[in-house]
Amino acid sequence: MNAQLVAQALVLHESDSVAIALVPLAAGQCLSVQIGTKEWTVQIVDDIPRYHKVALIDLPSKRDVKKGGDVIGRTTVPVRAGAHIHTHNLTGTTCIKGKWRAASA
Amino acid sequence: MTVGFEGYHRENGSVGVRNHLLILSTTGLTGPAARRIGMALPAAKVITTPYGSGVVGEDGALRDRMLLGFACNPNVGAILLLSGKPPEAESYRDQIAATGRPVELLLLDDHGQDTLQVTDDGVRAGARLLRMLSRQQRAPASISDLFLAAECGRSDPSSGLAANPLVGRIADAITTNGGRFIVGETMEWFGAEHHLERRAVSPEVARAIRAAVGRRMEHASASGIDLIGNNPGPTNIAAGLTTLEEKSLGAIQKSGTGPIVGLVGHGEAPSGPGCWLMDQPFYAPESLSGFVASGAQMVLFTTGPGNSFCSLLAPTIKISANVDTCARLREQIDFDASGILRADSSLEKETEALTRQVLQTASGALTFGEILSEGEEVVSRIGASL
Repeated sequence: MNAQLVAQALVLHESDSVAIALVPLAAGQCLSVQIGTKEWTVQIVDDIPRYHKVALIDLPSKRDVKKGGDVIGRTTVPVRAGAHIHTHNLTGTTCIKGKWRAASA
Repeated sequence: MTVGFEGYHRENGSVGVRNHLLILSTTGLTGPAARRIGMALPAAKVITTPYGSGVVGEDGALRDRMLLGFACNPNVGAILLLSGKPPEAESYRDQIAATGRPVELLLLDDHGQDTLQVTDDGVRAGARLLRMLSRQQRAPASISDLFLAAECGRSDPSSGLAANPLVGRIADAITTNGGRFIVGETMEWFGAEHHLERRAVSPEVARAIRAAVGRRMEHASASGIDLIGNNPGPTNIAAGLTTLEEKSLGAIQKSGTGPIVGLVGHGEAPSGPGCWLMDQPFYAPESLSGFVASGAQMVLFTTGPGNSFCSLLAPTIKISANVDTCARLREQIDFDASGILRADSSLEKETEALTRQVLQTASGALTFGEILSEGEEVVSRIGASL
């Protein structure tokens, strides 16, 4: 089934810092994705479930993360290229116990 | 999308894709009788509300709008109205009758408060109305007669990547052909407002969109909750969505790319064709009911891991692009959009296929939700009763 997919992972915009896995990606494997004239090759650091995000570049803490050309949140810790990007290292502008917590805070 | 469908033409100009008898109980005291009548007449659709008296202010207005909206949805051909509240029920009956629909009112006061008598009269009246409805014929209708709503429930990243853009293609096709399309779930515009505002037909509409999102987020804040875990919820997060912004940016793609002509309140009818937004709660049962009360005939409902909830009155087409979900929920997902992420299909091909399925469903083909009787409609509450 995997061979029928358009790709192992999709990147949606040239300015994006993440790709979306279309198949489960295993730590250690090599992933190449491209859009337009831009191309990334990363070694996968964590096992990444299908439809989850993988960092395409090294990101310092408190850096905006873009998907589809839009900011979806900000890193809370440094993230290596090839790492899983999810709630453990990415936050948006959200509300904790009724108090706003901006991604930029 | 130039071909049309076959529907039920109503006296007020709307066109139904179904021809339901609606058994509508507008007071809590008459709910059990309405359900008994529904059991005797399984072809009928039953809506009840546990409330009925002491519902005031904004809640009172919402109640009137929702109950009358359900009764006057284009898919409803006739109404059996049950109530324990005469002046209100008579007003509802008259407003429904003004749309040209047959309506019969059963009041507790006219039956000596005997709900078994109400049940007996209701079964007999309902049987006559169903017989009459079964003799009505579908006739050709055009895309401009369609009013579709879009919902996403239990989204995952495949929703934003494929299923929602697919529904957006349908939105664009319907609205460029003179039909109506509506998207709601206000909280799920947060982080994507700039895209919606850019598409607004006027600065007033753009400001209304921003203000609606602001009110919804202030409400979340005032309630003292953690938004993470509520929206995105645990199912969204497990499936790969991380932030509300990420979910919203995928969610708004259901509305297509065309102009946004206006914003209506929960259950309010759009005043003309085009793509509209509804300022409303995000939970599917409330959200879908708002669309149906506003007159939507069908719902295009995208999901990632699956979501069985359907409208009672509007056929709800379940669409997923998640390959695992489409393989697993074969009797829930009406349209498998996973081909968009495979090399053997494309967004264009899937758009053509979904368009065909939408028009077939409009003409009478059943959804899994209809086959399995999944539907329900609810009237939302805002404050406390007296």
